Amino acid sequence: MRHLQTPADEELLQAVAQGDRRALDQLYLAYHRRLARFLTRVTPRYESAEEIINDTFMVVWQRAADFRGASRVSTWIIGIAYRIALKSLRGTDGMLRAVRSDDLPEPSVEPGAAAELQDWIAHGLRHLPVDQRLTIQLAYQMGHSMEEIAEITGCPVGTVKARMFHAREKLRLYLPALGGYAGDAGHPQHTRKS
Amino acid sequence: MNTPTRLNSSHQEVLELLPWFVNGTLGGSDLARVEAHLQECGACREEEALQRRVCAALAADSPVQQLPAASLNRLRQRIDRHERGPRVPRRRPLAAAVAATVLIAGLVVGVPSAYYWQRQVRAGDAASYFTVTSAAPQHPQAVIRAVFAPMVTLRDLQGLLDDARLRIVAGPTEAGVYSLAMNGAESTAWSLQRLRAHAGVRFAEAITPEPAPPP
Repeated sequence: MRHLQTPADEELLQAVAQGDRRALDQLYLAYHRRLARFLTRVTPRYESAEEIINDTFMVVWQRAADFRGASRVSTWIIGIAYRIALKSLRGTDGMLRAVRSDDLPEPSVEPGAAAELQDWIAHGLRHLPVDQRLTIQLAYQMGHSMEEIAEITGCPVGTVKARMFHAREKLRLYLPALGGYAGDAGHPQHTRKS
Repeated sequence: MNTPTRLNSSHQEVLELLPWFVNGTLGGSDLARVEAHLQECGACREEEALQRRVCAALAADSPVQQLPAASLNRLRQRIDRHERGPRVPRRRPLAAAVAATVLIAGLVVGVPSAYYWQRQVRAGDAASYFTVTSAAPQHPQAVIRAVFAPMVTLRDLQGLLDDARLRIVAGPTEAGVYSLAMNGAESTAWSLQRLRAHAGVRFAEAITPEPAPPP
């Protein structure tokens, strides 16, 4: 799951900065799958993921010369995709509505099987504020560290931890059969000042 | 000796660090602190187990794989159009570059998805770039070609493919055509019938001719 940047990424980006289209192709093919997996979980239509990926690489093509190596190439590219996705999702109706009690699903299915658990999580993710949703995906789906997520999102590490904590707490409301629903006497008390 | 206040503080800090303990990126003193705390805190061990399940579910591959060839082709054409426009230096001042980025994002996000489904490769571009249909041979396992409605969601797509026991093996082409392979023991004709029953399927046909019905 975790991506380790190879030296080739930086070399490819330098070539892109010189206008090398083949290098852009290679970089695109190297990142497309990861970005597609990331984005298809958060966009309402699967075509949107492709639009965000191509917007991202349009920016990579135009801005490669601005990359100074202060971060990893992967963090830089995913950061561009994050900002474009954030803008796109914030423009989508219903993405940012708060969780209300009547939004919560009735647990008609025990999420024992992996596919069912994924369904419950996908359902829960749709009810998270977009910054929390993207943070939990960057950590769990993309395997990024706290520091990398801080770079990608342009936020302090403390904000990343707070977003992740609140995302987990809200997601818990959608996973009742895992023993995590609010009010469960046996559940650890989680509080966070924010 | 730990006071209750220090224990609570440590507990809260560990709770916040658990996701990165679970995804394997925690290091140094944070890692040591979490490991030590987990040995003495049952509640955090329960939370760790829950987060491991959530992490595993999110990290699992989606059954729908987007294939990059057609998308990359569209990006190449977009860069071509951009470069044929008014000449601009590749290194632009930051403000101009940011403004352009925002403009690009705004324009493209606003483009109806139907654009992609109706779009045809222009003759001039076709000479410079490969397309999925021209360059890639038909996938050996592909048995059905299908086009889905532009507003079909990822979830809908997964559902209808599961229902018809199919999986995507190639596509979309420039015209939005996906090649599908069988994912079960059913016949191609059965899957085709299931597929055609969905409102989200615009077009579906067998790649190999279906056997003629008995007289």
